[in-house]
Amino acid sequence: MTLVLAIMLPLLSAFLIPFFHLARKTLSAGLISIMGLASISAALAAAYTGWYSPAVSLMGGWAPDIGIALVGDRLSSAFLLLTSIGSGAALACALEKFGGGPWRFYALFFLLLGSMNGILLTGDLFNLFVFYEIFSVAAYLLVAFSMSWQALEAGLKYLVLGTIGALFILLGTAFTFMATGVLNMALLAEALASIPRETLTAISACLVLGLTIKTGAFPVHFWLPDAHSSAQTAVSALLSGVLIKVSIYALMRVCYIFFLGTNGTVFLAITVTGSLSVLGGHLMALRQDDIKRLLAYSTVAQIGYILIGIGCASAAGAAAAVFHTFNHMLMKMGLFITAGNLSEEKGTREICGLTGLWKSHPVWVAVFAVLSAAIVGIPPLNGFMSKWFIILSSAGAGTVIPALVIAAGTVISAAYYLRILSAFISPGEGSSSGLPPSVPRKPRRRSISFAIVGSFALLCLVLGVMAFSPFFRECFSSIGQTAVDVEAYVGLVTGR
Amino acid sequence: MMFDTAHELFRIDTFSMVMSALVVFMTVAVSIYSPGYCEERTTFRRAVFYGAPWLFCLFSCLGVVSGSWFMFTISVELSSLALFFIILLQDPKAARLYIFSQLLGAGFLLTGTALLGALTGATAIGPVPGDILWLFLTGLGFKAAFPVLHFWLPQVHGKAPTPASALLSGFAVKIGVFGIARLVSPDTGTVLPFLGSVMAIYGVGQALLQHDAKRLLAYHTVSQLGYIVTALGAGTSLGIAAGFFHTVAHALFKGLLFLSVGTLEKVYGTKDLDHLGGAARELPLTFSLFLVGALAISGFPGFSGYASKAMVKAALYEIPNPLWYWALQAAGVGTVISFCKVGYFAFIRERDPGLRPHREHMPGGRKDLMRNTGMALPAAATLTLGIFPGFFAGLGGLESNSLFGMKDLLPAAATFALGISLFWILRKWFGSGKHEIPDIDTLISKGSRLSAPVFSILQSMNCGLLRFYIVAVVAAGLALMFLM
Repeated sequence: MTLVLAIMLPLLSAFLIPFFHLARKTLSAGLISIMGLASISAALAAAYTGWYSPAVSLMGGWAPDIGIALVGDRLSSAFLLLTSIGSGAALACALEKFGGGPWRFYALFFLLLGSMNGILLTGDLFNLFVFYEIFSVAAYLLVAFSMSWQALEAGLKYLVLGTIGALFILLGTAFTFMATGVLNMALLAEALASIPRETLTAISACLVLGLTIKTGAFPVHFWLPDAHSSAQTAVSALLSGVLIKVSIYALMRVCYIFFLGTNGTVFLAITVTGSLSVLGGHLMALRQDDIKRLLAYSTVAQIGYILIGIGCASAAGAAAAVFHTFNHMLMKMGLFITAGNLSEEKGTREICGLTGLWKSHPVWVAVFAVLSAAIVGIPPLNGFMSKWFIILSSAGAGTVIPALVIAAGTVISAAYYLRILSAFISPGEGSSSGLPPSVPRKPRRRSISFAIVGSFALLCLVLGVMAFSPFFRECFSSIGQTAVDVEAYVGLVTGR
Repeated sequence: MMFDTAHELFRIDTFSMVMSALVVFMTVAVSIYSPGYCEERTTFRRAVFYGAPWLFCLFSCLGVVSGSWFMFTISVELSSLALFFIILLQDPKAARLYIFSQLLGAGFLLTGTALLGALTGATAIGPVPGDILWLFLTGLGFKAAFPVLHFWLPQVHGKAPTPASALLSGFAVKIGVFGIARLVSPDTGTVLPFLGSVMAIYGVGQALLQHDAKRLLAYHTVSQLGYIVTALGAGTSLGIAAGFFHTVAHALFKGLLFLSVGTLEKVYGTKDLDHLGGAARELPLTFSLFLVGALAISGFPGFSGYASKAMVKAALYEIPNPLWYWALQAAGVGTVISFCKVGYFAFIRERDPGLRPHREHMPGGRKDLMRNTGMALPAAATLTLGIFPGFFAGLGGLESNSLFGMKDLLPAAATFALGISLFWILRKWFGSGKHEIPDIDTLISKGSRLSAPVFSILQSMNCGLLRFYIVAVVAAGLALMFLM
């Protein structure tokens, strides 16, 4: 029941918000917060259930082969926790900035939250596609929400490319159904072992490509930089921190359950894509002048690290990938919120214009420095630890090239984050010429945003140090075990 | 499997104790020297200037006593980060070059460590199997300035504030050497002496052509590291002990030399040998301390450099190939010429009449006192180790008297005679104009233009045209389908 609530409560909130708006014309921030808290607690309850007693919930009592099953195990719990933290933070930032005003925004937000929880909990391939569609539509609209030309263009590109991705997922699902006659993932894990090799190739190519487009990995990343940089700060943080991670989950789940025993080439393809993503994303980020675009390309590169972890096709690799997913959520959300606030203060997003901030906003710059040190991979922060685990597991898979690519990526990312930091610290033209700053404006108080990014930066340090403790590693390796243990998943769903 | 616990957390033996003592000693000397050098205005910058060396000291100590390659790499990376901040105060470009090169080296080391863990199940510090040796040698080579991988060293040593240069040459590069010493196994026997000889000859050759005093000293660091690497390549316990002795000796006298050039830089406002001169009369104490360092690096009997080089050569007698021995002898002649050049041009001949010394830095002031006190420490240690090399000789199983035999004294005398006479013949040529030939660092900055096509391909991929994106995505799908 808790699993259903995690999907239903946000969807209900999304449904109710327009009615509240119609009835009262104004929407109080308190109401939104209560709805948000309820949805997030439901997701956390589902995560708790999934973690301690993996659960299956059959919709309407139909058996798994004809009905829809919701499955909560450790992998989905980990991701539920991630989306709860991430979307909670984004909601708090949005509430601080907009108040209760834009009801459409919040309706879309809750729609997104519900569909994300749906993707994380569903055990049915077609149901996954349906939730993906809800998720994508909400995401397209949120990107275009500010209605500037830039945002509309980004939203359109996201729409077109996202639809192509969805098309491939749908094709893969249709081929699967035609070949086997079932849609439940656990039953498919058994059925796919006995279908012809060529059919399996077509299915795997369609599913992997569709999901890779949604994750925004390098050769098919085109929608990501525009979408992530044009949206408002809270949405950018949500896109980079949480939405991408849901696609990562879908890719992990589908690939591990369907192709771990049947088609090893899938994982080679994922590793290659990941390596390309690391190089391409970092090199593109190096050339950006717009700070949010730079962070968006950095996301492409970080997705590459995660894909390399997934491509190891081992429990250690999956655990490392999940750990990096968590870390990237913390680091990139923090960076986006900080960069967004600082560039709103200065009235520009060009890096060369973001000068003199060390004098005016020292604590924000300090937090940015910690977060970027973490994402570059300075020991003992969390980014370093998860990269090290990814390198370890890719070495365990017997290859050295992804590890060297990660090493090269570290240097390139150090280059561009240092560029941003040196711009922040440089005195700036305003103070030297004696003129007042170009945008005379009273600095706004952003205490909630600051509390969020500050605690994220602190968590970066804590998680990095915690990675040395055996208990913590146990937790993450059990997630990895769950991810690759197909038999346990099948047993859980079918009850055998 | 993420961290194995099969090895102890720390590995403490004579070598790591000596290295820790060395870094603490160097940091103390540099900290005494710094008040005579530091001219930072704000409290924050001063705090970095005085605090970063101690942070460096802390992480370096952790690095040399760590028991696994993983901890070693982390500590070394953090120690580089500490030096990065102090270099950043003076020259951001050099600081960036430094941290990028060190991060890349750490990446290679981490990759090697991960493979080591995958192959053997343990990452305890020590020799590694032959097929992943290249990763470790490359990673440590960035630190220890192997040929081609030394691209960062001349520039960073030349541009860094002098206390940082002294620590860089004195200890930061030695951590790389320390790692290589831990790696020594029969597999390293062929590659290390070759690399070491190349470094010894190439470093001294480049040093002879420099006119910036700190850059010249930086190339001598490459050259002296060559001695150490060659000695380690001998692979015997005598070779390793000799390498360590030269490591310690070089840290002390090269730190001393950098600090004395720093004094010239403060007093005259330049470190260019084309303009300097006459410092011996105005700064007699600095000159005598410089002389200690110069005689030690050139291998004059009674100074630490002589004893350590004699021990290195003793180690090389044990391996069959005489080529390495003669390469080091030739490098020794070059070293003598080079330090005759520094001594003559910076201290003895008449200087550029336009150059006026700054009064506040002249002898008698507090700044000069602090600087000379800081330099006196390594100078005293250099003399002590030169006269009583018994401890290090004992590590290699030698009597300290055996280092002062005729078969070592005669070549040293011949080296000095040849070096001084060659310098006297060539001194006009050294004094006239610039003779630098481009090193790998200028080639790299030229070569970065080669990356332009990569960027233009990437740029045109992200052209913003939706129809191109759609074609690219569908093409990627087809490619995936065919490749699977």
